[in-house]
Amino acid sequence: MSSGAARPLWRKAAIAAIVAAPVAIFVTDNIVSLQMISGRSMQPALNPDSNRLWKDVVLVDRMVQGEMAPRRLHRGDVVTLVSPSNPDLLLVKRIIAMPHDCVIPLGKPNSFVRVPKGHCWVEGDESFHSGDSSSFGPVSLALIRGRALTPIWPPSRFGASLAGLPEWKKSRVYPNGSYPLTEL
Amino acid sequence: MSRFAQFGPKLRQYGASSARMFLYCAIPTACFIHTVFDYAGEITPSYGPSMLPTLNMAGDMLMIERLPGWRKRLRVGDLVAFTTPYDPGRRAVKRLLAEAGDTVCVDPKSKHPAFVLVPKGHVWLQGDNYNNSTDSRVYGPIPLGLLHGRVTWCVWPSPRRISNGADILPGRFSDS
Repeated sequence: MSSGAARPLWRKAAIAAIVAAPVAIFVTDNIVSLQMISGRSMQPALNPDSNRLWKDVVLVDRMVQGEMAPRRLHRGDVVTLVSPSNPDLLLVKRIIAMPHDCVIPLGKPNSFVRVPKGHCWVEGDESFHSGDSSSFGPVSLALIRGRALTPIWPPSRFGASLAGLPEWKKSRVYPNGSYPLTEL
Repeated sequence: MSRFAQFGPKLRQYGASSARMFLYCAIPTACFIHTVFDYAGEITPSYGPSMLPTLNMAGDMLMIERLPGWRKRLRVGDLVAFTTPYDPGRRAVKRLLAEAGDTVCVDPKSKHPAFVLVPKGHVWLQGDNYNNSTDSRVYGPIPLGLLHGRVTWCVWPSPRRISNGADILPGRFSDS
């Protein structure tokens, strides 16, 4: 290859791909990524129609990992997290309670759990089909990998907001151990 | 001129200014280094007395490996780096003493030792310096999702291989 001739297109494309790959990996791990949702535990917010041929895809904000988690996450956020029982499994659940809150667990209405420092209580919106904090207790905020912002597929629900605690869960959450959320 | 020496003038030929040229090189390089750290391994300093005498109190540079499949290669006795469950911004290094399904006797010398069954997907981590270590005796079993990598070498100041320190004795545990 002489220095004066133009590079063939495939070489330019190969170099561009090699240069762009680490940037793409960095962006998808640390800034924003897409996640396909399978399962029914977040109905009706995500995957509302189980008979559909496709699964919902959400835009995930990845800038909530590590030390940014306590500051940037709030009650009502839908998050992706690594399952405490299986490190290869990624769950999508909603944060019901943040550190120092008291939660009345599902199925044990006469008891409550105080969420420890650095942990949170996650539940699927559709609790019947959900393996969440009702089974494995509070999860460390360090297990959270991202916050779901909005579904981008199907296009009919593009831009819908996912945040906000469902009304029927608010009575079981006592922020900082004080009055339940329904009374605030 | 060699091919690399032509790199600069060629970019300027395409109208790139010096600042843009720098960014086109620096950003992919930084992302490449970050990807290597996340998927292959990194060298990181450690401090704290909880792993004496294995690791010094300060100044040790540890090589942490996380090549794909590293979680399956973890064995009892390995040193692992993990994120502390109570403070997501903080990382620690401890020794893996028990895997999922094992039962741990916490403090055998106390009058009423506690026994903890390590649940599925969790491990028991404990510092070598039992007197001054915040570990699974305080946190409880730690989920595998918090683990960050396996410490294989201490590269500075005294290069040494961090070997698996487990001495597994056969026989049934008996409290008689």
